[in-house]
Parts: sequence; C-alpha cells; structure tokens
Amino acid sequence: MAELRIEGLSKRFDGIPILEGIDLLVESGALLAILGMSGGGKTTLLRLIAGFERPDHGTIAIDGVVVDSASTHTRPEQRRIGYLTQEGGLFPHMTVEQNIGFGLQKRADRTARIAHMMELVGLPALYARRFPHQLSGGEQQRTALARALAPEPRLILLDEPFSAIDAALRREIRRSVLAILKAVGATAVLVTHDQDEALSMGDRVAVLRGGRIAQHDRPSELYRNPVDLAMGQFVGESVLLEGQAHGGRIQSPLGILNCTQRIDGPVRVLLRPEQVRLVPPATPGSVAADITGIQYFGSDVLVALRLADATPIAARIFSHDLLQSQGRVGVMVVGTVSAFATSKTARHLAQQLAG
Amino acid sequence: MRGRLPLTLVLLAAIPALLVATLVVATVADAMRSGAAHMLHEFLGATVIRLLFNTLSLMVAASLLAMVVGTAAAFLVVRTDVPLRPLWQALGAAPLAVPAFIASYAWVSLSPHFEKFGGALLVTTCAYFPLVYLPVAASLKRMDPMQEDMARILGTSPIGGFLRVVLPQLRPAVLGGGALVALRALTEFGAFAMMRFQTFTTQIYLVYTAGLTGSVASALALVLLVLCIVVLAGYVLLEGGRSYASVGRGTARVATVYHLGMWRLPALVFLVLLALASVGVPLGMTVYWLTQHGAAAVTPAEVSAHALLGATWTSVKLGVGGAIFTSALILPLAMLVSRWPGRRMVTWLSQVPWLAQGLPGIVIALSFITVTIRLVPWLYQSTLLLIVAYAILFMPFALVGIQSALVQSPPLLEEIGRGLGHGWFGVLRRVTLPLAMPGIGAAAALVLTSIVSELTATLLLAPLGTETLAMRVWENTSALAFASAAPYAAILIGISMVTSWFTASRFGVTAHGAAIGS
Repeated sequence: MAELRIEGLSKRFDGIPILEGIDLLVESGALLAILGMSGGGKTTLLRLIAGFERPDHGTIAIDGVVVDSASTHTRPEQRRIGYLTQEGGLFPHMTVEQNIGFGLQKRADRTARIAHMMELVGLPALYARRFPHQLSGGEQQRTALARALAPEPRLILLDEPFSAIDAALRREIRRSVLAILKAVGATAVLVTHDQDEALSMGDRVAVLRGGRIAQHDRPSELYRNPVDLAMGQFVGESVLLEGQAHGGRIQSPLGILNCTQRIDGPVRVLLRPEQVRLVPPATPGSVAADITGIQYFGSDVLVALRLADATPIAARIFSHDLLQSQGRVGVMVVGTVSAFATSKTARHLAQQLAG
Repeated sequence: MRGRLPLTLVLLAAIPALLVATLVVATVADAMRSGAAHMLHEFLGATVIRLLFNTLSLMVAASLLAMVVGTAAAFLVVRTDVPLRPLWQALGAAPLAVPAFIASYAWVSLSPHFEKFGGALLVTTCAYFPLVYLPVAASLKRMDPMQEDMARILGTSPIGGFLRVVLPQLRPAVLGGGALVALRALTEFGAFAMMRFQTFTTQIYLVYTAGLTGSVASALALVLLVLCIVVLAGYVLLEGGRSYASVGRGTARVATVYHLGMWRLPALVFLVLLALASVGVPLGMTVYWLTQHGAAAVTPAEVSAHALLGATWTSVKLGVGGAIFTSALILPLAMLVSRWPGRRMVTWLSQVPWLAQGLPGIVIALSFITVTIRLVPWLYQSTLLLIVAYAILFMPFALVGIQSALVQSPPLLEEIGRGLGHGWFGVLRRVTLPLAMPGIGAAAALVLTSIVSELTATLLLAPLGTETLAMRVWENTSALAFASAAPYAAILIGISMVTSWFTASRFGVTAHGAAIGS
C-alpha cells in the first residue's frame, strides 16, 4: 500500500469553484476520513484522485509518483486504485464471482483470488453464482469491497459507502470493513457527511468546508479542539454559553470553567453535553438547573436543562443515572472547554437584534 | 388490489384471446382441410422454396442491419459529442411516422433501380431501425454511469469497459428490437409489392386476388404464421426471464460523454445519411411529386379534390372508429393487468395481444374472409369486420398505453370510491376513467396512426367502394402514377406525424418506442 499526497488541488465546474487549494497527506496504511456537507465537493475530490476528472491546478502523487499535474495525467485504469461507492456500482449482468474477478483478467490465480476475496469479506462460497439483485444491501456492499480489493490496489477510495445500508446494519458493516481494510493494510480515503462515521473510522479526519480543508486532525483533537465555533457544532452535539475569559479561566453561567486556549475578553464557550454532570441540588461547586425535557436513547439520555438565567443547556448521562434526577438538580462541568472570542461586530449585531 | 377477480371483467378481457384463437384455428383448419402440404407441393413447388429464401434472407439481413444501425445511432446520439445531438434526438422516432410503403413509393419513384432485394432491405431497415434505436437509447439513458467508471478504475480501457459492461446490458433492448424488425420484415406487404420483391405476403396477395382457391392462400399463410411464431419463440427462448434490473438507485450523475475526436465527422455523415434515407427521401420525394404536374409521372393521372377529400375522410373515419373500438376492446384486460397483476389467469390473458404481434395483417385478413364467408356472410366486406381486424393488429399498442394510463389512477382512490357506496362499475365510470383519460387518448392516437398507415388488411377487407389514403397511394404507385399518389401520401404522412407527436408528447418519445418494443 502506498502514500497519497495532494498539493494545491483546485477544481471548478462551469466557473464555480468546488475545491480550492486542497493539501492532504495520507500515510501508507492510514485511513483519512473526509467529512463535509453533501454537495461540498467530497465526491469531486475522490473523482479527481481516481482520475475520472482532471484538476485545474495542483498535483496528486501516489507513492511518490505524480499521477496528476499541469503536465501529466495518468488514466484511471492505470492508477491501481480501488473505489467503493454508496450503491456499490456492481455490474448487474454479472454474478458475484464475475464482478469480483472483473479486475483480475490477466491473472493466473484469478479463481483462487476470487475465492480468497469472498472469504475475506465474509461471503459464503455458494453466493459465487448469484446476481447482485439476489443479494441484500450489505452483501452487495461486501461484494463491491471484494471487487475493489481484489486487484490489490495501492489506494482505496470509499465514497459514502454505508449510507445506503439500513441504520441497524450500518455499524456492524462499518466495523467489519474497517477490520478488512486494516487486515490488508490498505491506505484509504473515506468521504462521508456522517460525523460519527468520520470520527470512528478515520485515523485522521479532514473537514471540507466551502471547498477548502477547514481542519485536519486526529478525531479526538477535532472533537475537543475545533478551530472555530461552527466546526465545533458540526462535529458533534454542543452546549453554547456566553462568558468572560481571563487567561485560561472563564466566568460563565455554569461557574468558572477551564479553557484549552489562553484567551481574554468576552467569549462564546463550547462544551459537549457529556461534560455536564448532574449532581444533587446545592452540591458545592455546582450550579442550580431545572430539567425541562428528556430524550431517551436506551443506554444514554439527553437531558435538556435551564439555568437560573434561562440559558438552555444539555447533559448526556447514562440512563441508569437518570432515576436519581428529578425536577431541580445541580450541574457541574468536567474537563476543559473551548472558547472563541466574540468579535465586536458579532456582539454589536447581537445587541442590535436584542434592542 | 385484493379480492376476487370480477367475473364480468374477466369475461370481457377474454374477448381478444377468443378472437385470436378463432383466427389461428380458422387458418390452420382451412389449410388442413384441403391438404395444405399437398397443395403447396403441387401448385407451387419451387416457388415456395424461393419465397422461403427471399423472406428469410430479407428478415435476417434487415434485422441484423437494423440492430447495427439502431444501436450505433443510439450510442452516438446518447453518449457521444457528435454535432447536432438535439436534432438527432428529436429525429429518432420520426421514421415511424412514415409508413414503409410510402418510403417504398418514394424510393421507387426516385429511381427504378431501387427494387428487389436491395431496395426492400433499404426500405425495411430505414423504416424499422427505430424499433431498435428507441429501446437501446432508453437503456443507455437509464444505465448507471458509475458502472463505466468502475470498469475503468478496475483496470479496463474506455472501449474495453464499453464492450464488457455497457454492451452486454443493451442485449435485451437490441435483441427485442431486432425480433420486432424481423416480425415486420415477415409481415410487411406494401413496401415489398412496390419493390417487386416476392415474399410470402406478396405471394399470398397475388394468389388470393388471382381468385385461385383460397386454400392455397391459407396454406401459404400458415407457413408465414409458423415463421412468425418461430421468431417470437426464439426471442422468448433467448431472452425470456432475463432482466438486468439495475442495482441500487443509481447516482444522478450525467453519463460519460465519449469524445469522438477524428471520428466526429464520419459519425455526423452516418447520422445525416440515416436521416436522409429514413425521413428525407420519403418526405422529399412526396413534396417533389406534389409540385409536378400529373402528366410528369410515368403514368399520367390527375387527382380530383373530391377524391382526395373522400379518401381523407374515409381514413380518418376508420382510424377514429378503429381507435375507439380497440381501446374499448382492450380496456377490460388493461384493468385486470393493472389492478390484479400476478394472477395466473391475468398473466396468461395479457400475453395474447403480444401473440397477435406475430399475426401478419394478411393472415388476419384472409382468415377473417374465410370465417365470415362460411359462418356469417353478412359480415363479409363490412366496415365492422375491417375495424375488428384493426383491433387485433394493434391491440398491443393499446394495451401498453392504457395499462400505464390506469396506473395514474391509484387503487386507493378507487377504494375510497367503493367506500362511498359505488359499485365497481360506478367507480370505473366516475373515478378511474376520468383520471386515466389523457393516457387512454394518447394510446388511442397511436392506434389511429397505425390504422391510417395500414395497407394490407385494408386492401383485402375494405368494403367495395371504400377508398382510403393508403389504398390510393397503393393504386397510383402500382400504376406508376407517382404524381397523383403524392397528395394522398402527403396527407397520410401529415396525419401520421400529428398523431405520433400527440402520443410522444404524452408518453415521451422513448415510451413510444417501449410501447412498440415491449
């Protein structure tokens, strides 16, 4: 498997910029998740890497060899890339066996390789003669994965590969695909609009926003230290507060909070609902709050609360802990929070709107 | 819809099947009665061999050529950067609005060189290649473009991907269209007669009009019928039950457009020639002869306004009457198919109109003559009989159109109607039909088009003194009076284009093809 390096990649369609100045590095054997809204250029990025489209600017290099630049363009069929899409893109007129063997035309070990791939993705041997329309969505996706991996590609591209699968099955398929990719040591790029998927599968996550990479980090960093408020809200559920920062400490309706950055002045504070703990009322260090609603998810619960100054917040707790909480409770924050300076214009605007 | 099949509806829906069965039995019985094999041998001998050779060689050549030309044209128009694509797209179904015998008239009047096998092949291919073009173009548009990307990323060149992924999936459309062209080549009469190319149809007509014993004609008709059934059966054996249901919803990406490069010009020339041959020459020659004085043709003849109006009126009258009758005849069956799909009885009955596709007009006409003369002489040479023959010929078109129109009226609305206290007939009259009417109208227009351009059954069955546009074109062309054939041909093409346009604007051009192709 190989390293993928992208530098200064730009692409326009009909004069509208889709991607601008994209720089990315995916190390050999790593999985990069690209997270972005639908229509945000994610698929275009993959199609550029695959060679289906030509970039306007920038270079793409696989394993140190440039496949796309102003002067070169390697054809898709010569790139040795695997591609897995939402619908699988299986050939409806071919059996499972023929689909998987499609990219193995000239190989002597074709039959053995097909059998091996079917075993790898967990397809029973008796499925070999079935046609795609006789398979379930999950089985189709496994077939497509086997087909993509069979010719031993240097790089595998995954274009929202799980979004067409039932929610109940999705998590399991995701896990098994990840295990298979790790087992063969594949370098992979996954694009998705689902932040759970990006955070749980990516060794690194790049967030694509407005055609640019807004943040490129390890999942935990992205979640804990978003570059701005919008990013924080995009990658996960959040609680927003107004506050005053002095050095690393913030005065807020939830008391004094520890901040990751050194910052001063009026700020907006972002923290995660799981950082909010419910405690008995009047516990020292806690702030009083009223429970206004409860959203039940089984293992955990999202509790909606209102602080004394009417600020709405949310707490994610284990459902087991819910039994002890009724009506008025105390809340306290664990861990550090993110804070972003409230710009003067934003504050001005807020005052105008309030007035 | 749940519940029992209404008996009345089933009985009404069985009428088309009974008619077809009667015709087939009559043809077989009549041929057998007089010892068909013996008669064929005694009376015709080597002629039958020659007819077989002519008919089969034309059928094979025309369907192969139409498959190649239709597929190539569809690919160029749908998937390449050939110049003037929108124009070619609009022209795709146009040849279907030009009846084959009119095309034949145009070529014969252009030069007497266009006759015999070559001329017949040219006209058959030009007139019927849309039967391949339309379903292939529809399949190409429907196909998920992602598949071609996948083929490439898996290491195949663009051409390799086309051959391994796209072409195999076009197979049902290509073979289905090819089978239809083969059937048309077997059953076409007017075009071949004008080209002086002898096939079973022209020989049957000759034998019949020569007043020789009807049994010889019936024996020949039986052979033709068997050939048609062989084509239908062959197609079912090859393609029956095969379907390439696309997997998943497919992405809404615009299909890859192949850049032709240096092949753009040859591709353009091919499409221009095709359009000229299939539409240009028939229209051009008709217009040319319109501007010529009647005496300019080989045989001088004048056209009176009276005769022109009379023929137009007769054609329209028969067309409208036939369209209404056909729609009414097929409506109960369409109801059954759209509301109780999957029932064995319904599936079985719904196959009958397709079987009728294999019944040549000349065979239908002959067996009607046989049956009526023997059993109901007062029906012989009546307008009613002619209209029933039209209905049998064109019921597949009506079935497809009306069936898809009825889907416009969801069963839920009918259930609500029933809930409000109406019987099924009341619901049909007050809910279903009003909703489905526009679609039924479009289907009827397609039947009307077909009737106005029908020649064979009309020639044999029309009551004495009845003259349609098609018959006038036929008579004048047979007499080499090309200039006097032109006004009739022009009006006929005009009616055909207007009604075809109406159908296409309802169903879309490709649905027009599907109606003919499915």
